[in-house]
Amino acid sequence: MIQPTVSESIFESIFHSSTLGILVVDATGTIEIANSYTEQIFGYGPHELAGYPLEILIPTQLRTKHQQLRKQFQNQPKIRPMGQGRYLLGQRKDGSQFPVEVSLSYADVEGKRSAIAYVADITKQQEARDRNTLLTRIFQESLHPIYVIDAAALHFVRFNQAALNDLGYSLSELRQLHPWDIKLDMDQSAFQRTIKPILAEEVAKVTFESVFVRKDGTTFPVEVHLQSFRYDHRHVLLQTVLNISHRKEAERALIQEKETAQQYLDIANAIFVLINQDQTVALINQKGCELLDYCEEDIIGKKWFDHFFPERVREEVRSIFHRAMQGAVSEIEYAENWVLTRDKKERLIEWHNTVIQDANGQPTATLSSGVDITDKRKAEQAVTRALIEGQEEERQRVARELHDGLSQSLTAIRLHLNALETDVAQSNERNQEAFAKLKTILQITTREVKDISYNLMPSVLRDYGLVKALSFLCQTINETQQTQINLQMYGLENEPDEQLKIGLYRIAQELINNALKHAHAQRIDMQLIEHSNSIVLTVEDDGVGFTIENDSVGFIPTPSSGSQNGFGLKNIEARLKLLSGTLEIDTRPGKGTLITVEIPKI
Amino acid sequence: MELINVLVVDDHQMIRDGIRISLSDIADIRVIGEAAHSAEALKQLREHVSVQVVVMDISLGDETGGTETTRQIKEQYPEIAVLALTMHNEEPHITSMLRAGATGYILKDTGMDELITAIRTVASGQTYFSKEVAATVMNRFMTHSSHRQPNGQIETLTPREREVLQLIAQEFTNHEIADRLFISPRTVDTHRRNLILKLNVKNTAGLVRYAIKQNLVDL
Repeated sequence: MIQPTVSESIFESIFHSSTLGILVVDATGTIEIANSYTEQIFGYGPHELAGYPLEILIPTQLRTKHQQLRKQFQNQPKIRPMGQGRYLLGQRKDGSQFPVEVSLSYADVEGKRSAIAYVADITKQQEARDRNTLLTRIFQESLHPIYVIDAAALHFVRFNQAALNDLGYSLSELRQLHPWDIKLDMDQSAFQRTIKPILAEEVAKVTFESVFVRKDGTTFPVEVHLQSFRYDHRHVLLQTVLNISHRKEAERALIQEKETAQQYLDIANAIFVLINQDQTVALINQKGCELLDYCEEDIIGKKWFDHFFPERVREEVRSIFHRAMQGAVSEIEYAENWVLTRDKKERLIEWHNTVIQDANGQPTATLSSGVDITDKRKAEQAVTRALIEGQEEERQRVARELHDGLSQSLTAIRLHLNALETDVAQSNERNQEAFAKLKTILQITTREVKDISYNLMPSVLRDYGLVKALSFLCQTINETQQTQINLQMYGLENEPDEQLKIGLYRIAQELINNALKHAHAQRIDMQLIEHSNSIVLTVEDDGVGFTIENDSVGFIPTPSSGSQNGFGLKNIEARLKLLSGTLEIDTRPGKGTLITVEIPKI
Repeated sequence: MELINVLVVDDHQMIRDGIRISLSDIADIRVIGEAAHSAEALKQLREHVSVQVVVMDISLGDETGGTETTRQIKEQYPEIAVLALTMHNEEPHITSMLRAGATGYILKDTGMDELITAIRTVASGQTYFSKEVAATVMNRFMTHSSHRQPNGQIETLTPREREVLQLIAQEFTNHEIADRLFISPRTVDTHRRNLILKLNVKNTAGLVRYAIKQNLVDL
């Protein structure tokens, strides 16, 4: 290998100062000599390479192939000058790879053939070349940060301007960094664990959320996509990064909004419950859980009507729900219902319902807000009870005074007049006439006082109970009025309690009065029927009827204005409220009136 | 002429005075005692063994009352006649007074003649009712009781119940019946429940069977 015209020392200095890597390799592929530049570009120390197989400088995956090529060359050497060289990948001591151009020659010295390789680091040239291709432009100009990571050495090989802008590093600074250096929440081993599946080619891509750290220490959330691919015989990882600050913020805002809404729902004094078409509970707020005394998990998914409604109202409410699901919306906007708590107590809820529809206008659920009015209703009932009981007491007091005072006085007058009768009979005609007149007036007055007293507090009701009192009431009307009342009563073997007895009597009386006074009825059918759970009073007449205007507040429809006013329905309403009863009016002008009162038995 | 000894029981002094005064001119009637309440009446009867007629008010203003007092008197002195003199002309009052043993019943606004006649009649062992009282009692027997056991009689159905029953038998739903009769579905349901109870059947199927049996529907 020593040229006769050049002295050894000069050659050596040229050899070592060459800006081309020069390697001398023996027939077995072992490096005999490598010049300084070679050591430099491959990252080795002085004289470190001598004695190693040449393949140490070749990326692992290319070594076998290279060995074959090398053996071929050994047998049939062929000079390959610079410029016609092959573009290959070199591998540095640290495992990183870089593009090299290699030209070859050989020398036979003392019967031994050595191969001489000239290696140039063409990273710069390749970058310069790459910079001008369309793909490179796209890579560079992309507003999304893109990083190319050497799969073995795990440092950044390339990255685009967006990456630099994103992180605030200069090109040379970023080159020094590893992928985990810019990730707040990842160290080297975590990063290696993350990329393991793509390196093992189990998956094509991994995506994860991370937080990037800028040069100035500030951070931002990102979504990182990593994929592995080979390029110019190099194994690299492509890392594309999406800044998800906005998304995170939106998510946070959304969560916050949800939490706020939930909070509103939870602190609201109303119960909110969403019922699916299949009658299961889709949603219920804190207040609803508290009321029913279950935790949320025990309510969600349960059949609403089966679990949380008392049996006696269940089917009716369910059928209303069914109708709502069939599109008959107006029926359910407002309702009062009893619900059943865990300890089987009943609470009265005032509901406002909305039917939720899908995009096609098909009902899919109901959203109900409810307020527990049990206590309110009780308080109202207490007030009403006090009023009604006070009224009844006052009536009884007045009735007693009329009966014990005025009536007795009138009777006494009558009896004393009787004592005069014999004398008057002997007196003149004028006195006799005056006496007779006096007795007639007295009789009428006595009757009137008695009627007033009876109406105030029917002695039959007090002494003989509801059945007798109603029979007597109807009998009296049948004797004195044109209208005929047919009374039928079923059950009622046991006298209802005082309040129910007086309440039912007064309601019946009031309804009969309405039929007589306003309806001009010929016939009234009154029925009092005791069912297992309730008592039903119906009063039906064949009179003039009227138009019902729906009263949105009260539960009793208000008859239209005019002569029908002052119907006594307010009184009935108050009594019914006290007895937790309901009233239903069915009427049309000219078609009579049917009033149904139902009172639950306690 | 036999003298009739009378005990007047009334809680009002005024009334007792009035009765005494109006009877003072009647030769064969003598008020020999007065009582304001039950205990006093029984005490008087023990003292005046000759009482033949007790004129009795129903409301005595005490716990016992005229009806119960009458019962006790008749128990102890079956031969004494009790004549109710009251302001109550209501069938239940009359019935219970008669059950207690009173044989006469007149109203306080009655005439002088009637009071005397009544006292004389009951004293002779017969019964006496004033005209109004008799009418009330008659009515009681004429009108059959409105309180009944379910007997399945078609006559007990109101015209509307008949209509509802016919429609039920024709398999209309509550809603359809409501629409036809211009009443609410809830009312239809009440009618249905009432019908089941009144006709003493178990369920809607029972109503249908009944309607068919009664020829309320064409088959």
